[in-house]
Amino acid sequence: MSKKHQRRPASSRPALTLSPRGWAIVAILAAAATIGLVVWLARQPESITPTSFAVGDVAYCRISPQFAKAMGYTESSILSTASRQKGLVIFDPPASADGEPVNVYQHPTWDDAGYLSAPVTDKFGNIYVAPSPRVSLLDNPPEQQNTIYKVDTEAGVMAELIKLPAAAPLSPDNPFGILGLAYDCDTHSLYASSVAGSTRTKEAGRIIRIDLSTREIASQFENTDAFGLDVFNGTTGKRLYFGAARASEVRSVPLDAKGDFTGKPRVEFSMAGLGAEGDEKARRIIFNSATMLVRGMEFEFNLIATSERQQTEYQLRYDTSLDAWKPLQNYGP
Amino acid sequence: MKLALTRLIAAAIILAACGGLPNPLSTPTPDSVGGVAPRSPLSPGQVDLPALQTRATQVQEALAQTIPILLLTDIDATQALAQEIAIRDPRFQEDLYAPQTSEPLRNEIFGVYPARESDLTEATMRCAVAKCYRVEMYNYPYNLTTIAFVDVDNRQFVAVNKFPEAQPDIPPHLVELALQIATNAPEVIDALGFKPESDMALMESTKTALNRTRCQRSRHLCVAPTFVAGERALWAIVDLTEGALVGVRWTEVGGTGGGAVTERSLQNDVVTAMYCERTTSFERDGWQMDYMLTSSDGLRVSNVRYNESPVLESAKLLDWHVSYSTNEGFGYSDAVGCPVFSQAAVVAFQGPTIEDIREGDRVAGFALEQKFWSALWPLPCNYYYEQRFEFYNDGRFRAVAGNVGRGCGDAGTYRPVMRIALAGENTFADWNGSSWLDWPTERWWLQSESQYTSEGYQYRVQSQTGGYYIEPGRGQFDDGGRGDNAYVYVTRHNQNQDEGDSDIVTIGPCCNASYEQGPEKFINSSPESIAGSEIVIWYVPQIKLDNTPGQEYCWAEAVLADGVYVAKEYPCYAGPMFVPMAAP
Repeated sequence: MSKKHQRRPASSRPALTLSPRGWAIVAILAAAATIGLVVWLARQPESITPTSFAVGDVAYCRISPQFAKAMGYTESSILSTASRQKGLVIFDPPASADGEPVNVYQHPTWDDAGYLSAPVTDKFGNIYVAPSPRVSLLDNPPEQQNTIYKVDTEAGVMAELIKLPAAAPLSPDNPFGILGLAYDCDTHSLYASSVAGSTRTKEAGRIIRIDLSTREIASQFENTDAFGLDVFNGTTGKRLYFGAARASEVRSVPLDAKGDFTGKPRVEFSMAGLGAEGDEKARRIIFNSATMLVRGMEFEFNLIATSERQQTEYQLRYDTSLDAWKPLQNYGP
Repeated sequence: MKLALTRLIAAAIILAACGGLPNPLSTPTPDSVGGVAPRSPLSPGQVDLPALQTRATQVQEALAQTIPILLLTDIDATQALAQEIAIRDPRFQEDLYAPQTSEPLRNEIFGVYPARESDLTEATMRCAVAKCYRVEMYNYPYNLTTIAFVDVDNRQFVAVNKFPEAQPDIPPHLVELALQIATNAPEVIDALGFKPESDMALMESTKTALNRTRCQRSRHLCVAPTFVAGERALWAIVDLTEGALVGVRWTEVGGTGGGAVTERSLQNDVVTAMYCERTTSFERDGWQMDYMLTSSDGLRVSNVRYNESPVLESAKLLDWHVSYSTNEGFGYSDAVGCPVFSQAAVVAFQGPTIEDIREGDRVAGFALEQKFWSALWPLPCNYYYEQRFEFYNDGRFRAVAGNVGRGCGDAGTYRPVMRIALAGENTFADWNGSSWLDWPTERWWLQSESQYTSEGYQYRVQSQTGGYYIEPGRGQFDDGGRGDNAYVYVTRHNQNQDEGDSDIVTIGPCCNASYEQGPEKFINSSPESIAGSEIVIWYVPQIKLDNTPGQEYCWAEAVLADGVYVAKEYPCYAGPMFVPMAAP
């Protein structure tokens, strides 16, 4: 496991000795400089976050749940929400590629929230999931779609972590709430994208940072319907990457050292015209060192049978000199 | 300090945005619309054009050849040599036949070009010194492009690459064919207000190319001739696999309203704007009604009147419950409805159609029909549902649910949940073999447990001014139906309680074989009185699919016709006929 550590702030400095008049002049100059800097920063196209984190992904600290280890599961065991079985399961991979999973286990609470999104784990081995309807809403009632659940690393019990507020009243036409989750080891933050309240004519979704130390919402990025999420530390700072739910684009927004949103989004990768569909949305974003894996699929804000999901995988490599991503192959027609 | 100030500014922005950062990349919503040419999925086109007849003949001749490839003509001798070398190589021939049946598949050479420097790879390195050509072939049924590299100096096949779900640039004769289909399509002529000339569709920037587009749902070869009219442009998507127009879509010149115009975006935009967001009023043969597509309850008709008398407050189809007996609890509750921003899993690709109902030589009425498809139908676990409302000139009407497969197995049972809210106050009764017995309170009943009158009626709804006999399906409607064996539920229609008036989230589980299909939840523990009341009739047929050869029912298969896959359909239909009683 790689070890990355946040750099400490600069060390302490010698104290200055000035007269009261001198202090007043310094204060005036400091105020003027501050105003000037504020104006200068405001005129910049984008705020720049500190580059205090090592370049790369932020998954280095994530570990397997303690309850799974106690049950004999290993690092190669799989936590899955994608099987036909409702909810979360853990299993050992089959011996052959076409074999059946073995040692399949589901805690009685793991299907309480219906079908679930892909699980993410944190530095303690806790698991976070959110409801994710498949073909119908029978097991995923709309009023529960904006709730994040946590599976405790020690007990293995799934319980509500936080119910996110929708930006607008729920629309019967939009069967979705939370679409994506991501965890940042640097800041112990959980990010969630929610489209609850969005309608065809109004993009009312939001991306939310939850400070897992306090279990409270720390920051929100508004008016954005986002799908898959992940965090990457680039040469210009930490950014949250997200798949636009209404456009075939992967975008990113800068984060500060605490993980809060600080500026405007930018387009990182366009899938328009690419892949099997030509208008895919980024359902999953996964960073691994300096590569980004994007899984694209059709998404029109309606339920869809699993058998209909045509998925395209795009792989990109980070160019540190440009702070930009380049596809590893031509995904065009 | 800079970080702090940045956060200060960010905080100001957050405040300005009422608690969050605004997103400047929010997507605008398209506001233009066009039309979808109504057709069945994977069915041959009906366009009557001489060029299509010629084309069909060429395709059939190519399929009969030893090497079933439609070759490119109008090429020079070197290109012809390259084409010949390519088509004779087994590596280039791997996708010429269907694996199961060995029937020839439609393959066509689209282009023969000198190899480019960018084509040089390890496999084609010899082309750095030799004169090479790239031969591009398109496989229609697989939507596959195969590119061969040929050394014409040494007359040798160099390499082959395959690109699934990709289409090469189309040759000039297909450009011409696409233009003919577009310029002769009634939808294009109607939209423009005149019949356009072919040269109006050529792009100014290139003079030759058509706009590229995609047919994501059919996986067909599609192009988009585009006609500029003032400040707007009309995109006409042409399906060259079927030889038919998909539809037309207006955009602002220089823009596409937020995304590429494709088969799916066109269908979604048109269906949403014309049928999901507005109600259509319709009148014919004494019948008056409104209809619209719902988010998840299919096509809804409402305010139905016959000769000015109210008949139905509304009727719709809430869910299709699909269960598979080979695996207990396995199945789906499929909602049907609008294609975007909806709870539907199987969606409308086009709007409703209206067609004549013929009995013998005469037109006996009309049917309002809506189809819902999974994109990959008729592949397994993809579905094709139909909804029909039949209105007859003599006052009869029928609500019909249809299924054309294909399901996830061969032991499936379909249970569509239909909701029929009658107008006015009625009393419901069933026939006990000798007389009509009124139902005093809410209840349900299974068709096979009831009696029929000599006319085939099982139930009756009677009002102060008339009423209807209800004739469940027993295979008598000449539509291939084999009987409904339906559960019928009657509930009181309380106007101050929403028991299905608005769109309903999935009403019940997929796999109950009993009366517990969902409507029973509206029958209270102490059932309400329904005599002389506003009532809702819930009708849930039970239809078993059959894929036994020669007896197929609720089934579909993909079969080859002229080298491409088309659907062979075995539909099943169910639903009750309402026959007007003579006025008391």
